Amino acid sequence: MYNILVVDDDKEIVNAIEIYLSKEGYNVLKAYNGLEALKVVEKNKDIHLIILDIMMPKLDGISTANLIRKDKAIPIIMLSAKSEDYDKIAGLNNGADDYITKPFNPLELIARVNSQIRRYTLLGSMVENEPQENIYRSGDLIINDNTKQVTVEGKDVKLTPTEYNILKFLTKNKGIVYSIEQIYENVWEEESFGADNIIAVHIRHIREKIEINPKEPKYLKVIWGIGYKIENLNKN
Amino acid sequence: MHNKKICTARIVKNIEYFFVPIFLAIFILCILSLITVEQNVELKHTNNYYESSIFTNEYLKNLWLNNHDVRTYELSKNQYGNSENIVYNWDRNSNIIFLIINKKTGTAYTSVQKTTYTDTIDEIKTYIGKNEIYWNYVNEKIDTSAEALKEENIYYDSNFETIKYNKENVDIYSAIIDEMPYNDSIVFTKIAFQVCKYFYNYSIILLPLSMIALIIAVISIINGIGKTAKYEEIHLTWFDKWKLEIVTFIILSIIILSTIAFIMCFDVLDSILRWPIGIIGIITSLIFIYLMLILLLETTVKRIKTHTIIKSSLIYAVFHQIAELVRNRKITTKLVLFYGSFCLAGFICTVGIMNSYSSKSAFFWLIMLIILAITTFYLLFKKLKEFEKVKEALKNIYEGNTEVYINPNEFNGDVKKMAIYIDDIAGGLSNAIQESLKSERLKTELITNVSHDIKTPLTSIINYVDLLKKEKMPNEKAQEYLMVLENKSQRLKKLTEDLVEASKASSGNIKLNMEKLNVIELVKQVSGEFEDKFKESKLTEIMTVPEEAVYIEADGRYMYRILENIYANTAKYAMENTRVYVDVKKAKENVVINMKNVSKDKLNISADELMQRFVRGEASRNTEGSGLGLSIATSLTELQGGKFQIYLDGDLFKVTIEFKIKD
Repeated sequence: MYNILVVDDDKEIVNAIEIYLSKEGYNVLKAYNGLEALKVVEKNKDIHLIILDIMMPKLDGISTANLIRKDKAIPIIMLSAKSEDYDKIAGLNNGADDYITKPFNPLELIARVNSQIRRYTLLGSMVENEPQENIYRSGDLIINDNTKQVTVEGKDVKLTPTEYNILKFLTKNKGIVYSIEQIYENVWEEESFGADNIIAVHIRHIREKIEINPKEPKYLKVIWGIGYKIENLNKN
Repeated sequence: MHNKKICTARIVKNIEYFFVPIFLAIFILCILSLITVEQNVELKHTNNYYESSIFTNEYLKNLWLNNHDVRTYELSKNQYGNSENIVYNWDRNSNIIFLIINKKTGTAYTSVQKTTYTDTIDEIKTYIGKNEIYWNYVNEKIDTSAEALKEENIYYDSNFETIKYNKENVDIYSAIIDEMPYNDSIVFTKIAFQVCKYFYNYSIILLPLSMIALIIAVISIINGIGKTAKYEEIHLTWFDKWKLEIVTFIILSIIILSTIAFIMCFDVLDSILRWPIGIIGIITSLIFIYLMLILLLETTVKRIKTHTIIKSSLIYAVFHQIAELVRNRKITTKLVLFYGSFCLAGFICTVGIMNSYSSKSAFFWLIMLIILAITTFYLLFKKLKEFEKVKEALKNIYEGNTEVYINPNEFNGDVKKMAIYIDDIAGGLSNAIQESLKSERLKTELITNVSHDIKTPLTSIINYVDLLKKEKMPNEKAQEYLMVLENKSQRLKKLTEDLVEASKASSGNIKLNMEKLNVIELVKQVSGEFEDKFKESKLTEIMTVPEEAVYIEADGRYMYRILENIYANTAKYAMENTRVYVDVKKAKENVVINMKNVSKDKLNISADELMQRFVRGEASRNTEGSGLGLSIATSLTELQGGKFQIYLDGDLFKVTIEFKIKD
């Protein structure tokens, strides 16, 4: 049973989140402003995740996250109506592990909560293996070319052979941007011709399978007008 | 505190005024004594006045005058007196006492007062001999400490003819009275000698010192001029506003008059009765000259400090009046005047050449003609250059660049006026644009803030609708209503997001990250993203692109937003089971992205209206979307320097995006 603290000055939102998370089997603690949140964190030693609103009375989310981060490593997901890039950057720079904008998709919220909990409780303690042959990874995306298995944050992902080859090629060369033409030439090993969007369609399908929110991908990034790449993420 | 400071400054300033004449006097005396001593070798080596030839000359000059008087007296009397005939009280206000004995007549003439001790010639001789500096003409014996009165030192020249002539007939006994009671020339020359020697001896120190002190004092006076306790800035009195030439003329006249008075006073000094008047006159005239000089200095410095020196001059006033007369004429009148004077000058020169008798004067007139030509060309050139500058500035404004910096002070005459007007217009335009940008920004801020406030309740609505969906509905109708609620809340969400974006894009409140992008890659990528949506709407995409890459400079994220909007638009509004044509074509310097599709519904508005915010095809009102998509796409394209156009032809809907190709 994991404990999740939900902090928002809008009681209805807190209640709604509670309903969703309870259904997933989490125990929910509630607070309605930053000061209350700090008190709850002080009292309960075993909180596994905090969902934190930014705009709150008394003490705002950014300051609260900062204060909690001083002595706690609990994952924090920021939840805010502020959707500008610089708001997200400010949140992530001040102790947040993830940032979701309001209004949010409940399924996405749950997926992200699961991901953070998994990271914090299970994967966090995993001893890093020596790099193995035929195993490619970026962060929590792992491709085992021996078994042709793809796992994202511990979950198996089913891909078609073409999708698998594209993903393998990009992960092998993570951090490098490849254009559609280059991907075609490298995966099919023949010259590309004609005007079709087949690679782009495959990439979208891969994204839909491996990303929580395909519109804001974490692993497979789209560089518009230039190409695609697998983000070179640190091994946590 | 402040006043005290000024008071101190005032006193210091007055001290400076007092010191300047002193330093000046020391300086002048140093110079004069240096010149005098250096020119007179004897003066250089003698420190005792009585040993110098100056003294000898003075002494003999005085003696000669006395002797001359005696002779004149004698001639007029032409008498033969007895042996003890003594004529007393020869008075020339001289420090020299003498006894002249006419050996022929035996008459003695003396300037010694008659007392019981000076009754006889011998007694007078003794009386005279008691003085320290004594000269006996009889045996040419000097019974004195004054070495200078040795026989060989006595210089006979034409002035002292009398003494020489009288040598056989006359005995002269003379001396200088020890106390020197009279201010005669001997006393003056003695003082002058001493002062001269003193300043000469100390000139090595005094000359540079006095010069430095003088410079410092004068600088400090100049610095202090115009600073008063009463006024913060330099205050010009009525006197300072007079024409400079008139002021200078008046002051110089007074100085000249004072100098004349000074010279006249010098002549008076000799007389025993009037010399105090002379001294007073000299001092007064000197003070007067000094005061006048100070006055001239003050008014000049004040004028320089307030930059009015030129403007307050008479010459300037005259020229200014003439210029003023020409200035307000029409530009054509000015041209006529200018051209007229040019022709006149040219004519004079030509006539000059023709009337020249010598090659020299012909050459002179030729040079004048060339100078005239060059000057005229220069003036015209300068004017045209100014016009060119004004044209440049106007062009800038015309091209929409309101940051025009035109400095009217660089121009003259009518062009200056033009420059001032342009500067004004540019400033006004720039202000207006700034204002409108500011208000756009405020609007964006307002919309952003409002959207934040909307999003929070919206979150609850969406979440609870979602939760409600998972509950059992009492009947079909409730289920249906719930679907409506879900659709509308989703649409509200999209609307708020688009609203913020549209407002930002139209106000240009976006930070662009320009990169070199491949248009073909981009189109393929976006096309891939919409493949499933097109499939859903049963649309077939036909893409025609050049084989090689086509690069532009733009921000990838916003380029995606533009194409995404068009693709989404097409997916929503294109008629089912039709083809969508996407072409990328190179046209000279530009790349053109074309997208054509057939509209599902009748398009009964113009392309322009379609691009406006919040306008959509009438019949499309009920489909999802905010209607801001095309407006956002237009704004973003223009922000990145591209062109976005919509063509409507019946049901054919065509979007054209144009960007400049980057090599």
